Amino acid sequence: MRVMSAIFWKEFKGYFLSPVAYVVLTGFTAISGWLFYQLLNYFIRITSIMQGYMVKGQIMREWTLVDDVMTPLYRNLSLLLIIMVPAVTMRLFSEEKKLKTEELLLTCPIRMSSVVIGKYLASLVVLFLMLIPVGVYLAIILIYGTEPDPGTITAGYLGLFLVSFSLAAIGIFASSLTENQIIAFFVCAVTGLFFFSVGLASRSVGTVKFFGHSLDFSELLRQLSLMEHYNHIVAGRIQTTDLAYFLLIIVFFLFGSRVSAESARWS
Amino acid sequence: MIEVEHLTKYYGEIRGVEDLSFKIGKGEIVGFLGPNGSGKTTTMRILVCYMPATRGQVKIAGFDVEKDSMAVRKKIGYLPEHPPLYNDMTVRSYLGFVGRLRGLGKRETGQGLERVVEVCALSEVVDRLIGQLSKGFRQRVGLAQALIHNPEVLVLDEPTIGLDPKQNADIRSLIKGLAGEHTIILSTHILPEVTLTCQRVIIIHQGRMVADSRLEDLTREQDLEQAFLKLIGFEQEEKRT
Ligand SMILES: Nc1ncnc2c1ncn2[C@@H]1O[C@H](COP(=O)(O)OP(=O)(O)OP(=O)(O)O)[C@@H](O)[C@H]1O
Ligand SMILES: [Mg+2]
Repeated sequence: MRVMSAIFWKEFKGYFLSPVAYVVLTGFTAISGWLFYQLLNYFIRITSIMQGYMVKGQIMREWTLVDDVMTPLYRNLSLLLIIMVPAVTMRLFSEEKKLKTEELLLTCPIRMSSVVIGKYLASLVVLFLMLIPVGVYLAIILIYGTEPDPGTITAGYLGLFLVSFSLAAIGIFASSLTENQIIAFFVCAVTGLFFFSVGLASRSVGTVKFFGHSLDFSELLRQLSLMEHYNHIVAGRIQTTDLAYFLLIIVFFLFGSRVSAESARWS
Repeated sequence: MIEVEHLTKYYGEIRGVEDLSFKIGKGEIVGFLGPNGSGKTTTMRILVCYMPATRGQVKIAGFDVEKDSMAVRKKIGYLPEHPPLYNDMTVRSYLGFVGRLRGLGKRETGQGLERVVEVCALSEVVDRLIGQLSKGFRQRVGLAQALIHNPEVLVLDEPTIGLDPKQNADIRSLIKGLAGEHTIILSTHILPEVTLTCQRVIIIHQGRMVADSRLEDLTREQDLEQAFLKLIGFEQEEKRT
C-alpha cells in the first residue's frame, strides 16, 4: 500500500511537471467542447425547421437530445480517446527503461504489481480529470433539456470512463514493452483501434467448422469488439457481459504489464 | 555475509560469468576488479536480485537470492552502473521516494534523508532538479539512494566514477567509515582507489576469477597495477608485440 501510494504520487506529480497533462487536458476539453457546441447548435437549428426525421412528409423519428446530441458526442469522443489515452500512458514504463530506473524498481523489496497498479491509478486520475468537461455538457443537457432520458445519457458518460480505463490498461502494457514512448503510443493506439473495429468483420464471417466443432466466429468477433459493448452502454442497454468485458480487458493488460515489466530480469 | 558458490551466468550464448565462488564476511570491504566486460556488473546484478543466475547459488545474510528474494532485497543497498535517477524530480523528493520504496516510514525517511544528504555532501543541491545536476552530483545522489535505508550490505558498481578528487577522497572515507557495520562490495577500474579503501580484492577476467586475496598479499612484491595486469595476462601480450 505504501509502495503503491509512493508510485502513484510520483507519477501523478510527474504528469504535471511535464507538458503531457496540460496538452491532453486542454486538447480534450477544446475538441469535446467544440463538438458539443456544433452538435447542439445543429440540433437547435434543425428542430426549429422540423420536428423529426421525415420521409415523404411523415415524421419517422423525432429529434431528441439523447439521440442527436449526446449519443453522437459519445461516439466521437470514444474515438478521440484512442489518441488521448496513449499520450497519457506512453511514458509510464518506457521512461523507466530509458532512464534505467527499472533497475531500482526491480531491486527494491517491492512487488511489481504494486508498481503497475500505482502507475495505472495515476493515469486514471488524469483521465478522470480529462473527462470532467464532458460531465459538464451532460449536466447542461440534464438541466436545460426538456426531454432527456437521464439514465441513458448518464450511462453513455460511464461508458467513456470504461473505454478510457481499458485503453489505459492497454497503454500501460504497450509502455512496458519498449523504451521508446512513440512506439508505446502507436502500439496502444493500434491495439485500441483493433478492439474498436474487430466487430466490423463479424458481418462477413459465419460459422467456422473447426475440428468437428462448429464455432460461431461472427459472434466471437462481436463479443471481442469494444465498439459493440460500448454501443450497448451508450444506448442505455448495459448488460453484465459489457461490464465484464471491460473488466477483463483491464485485468488482462495490467497482468500483462506486470509480467512484461518483470521480464527485464530475463534480458 | 555474502556467499557465492559456482555462480554462472550466460546471456543466451554470451558468457557473463563462469563458476565464480567466494565468501565475504560481515564488515569486510571487498574491491571487485576486472577489465571491461569481465562480468563485474553481471555478478553484482545477481547479488542484488536483479536477475537470476543460470547456475550456482548466492546467499546474502543466509537468505537465498532466488528463494528469499524479498528478504535479501531488504538488506541491500545498490548503486547500479547507471545511477537510477528521475530527471524531473528534486533530490529531496527522489530520496524520499526511494525511502518509501525501501519500506521506510515517514519519520525514518526524513531521518535517512538528512543523514545521506550530510554524508554525500548534497545540501547545496537538495532542492534542485536532478536533471540539472552535474555528473558528479548525480553520482552522489545515486550513492545517497543506496544508503538511505542504512543497509547491512552495500553493492556499489563503480561508485566513484566522475567524482572530483576531493569528493573521491570524501566518498572513500565515507565507505571506510561504513565498514565494520556494513559489508561492502565495490567494483572499480581505478586501482589506487582499491589500495586506499579495500582490505581484499577479487579479480575476475573474462568471467572467471583469477585472484581472491588480501591486498597485502597481492602487493607484497609488486604494486597492484602490475599484479592486476599479470593476472589478466596482459604482460605476455606486451612482450610479444
Ligand atoms: N544484457 C546483456 N545481454 C547480453 N550480454 C550481456 C548483457 N550484459 C552484459 N553482457 C555481456 O556479459 C559480459 C560481462 O559484462 P559486464 O557488464 O558484467 O562487465 P563489467 O565487468 O561490468 O564491464 P565494465 O567494466 O565495462 O562495466 C560482457 O561480455 C557483456 O557483453
Ligand atoms: Mg560494469
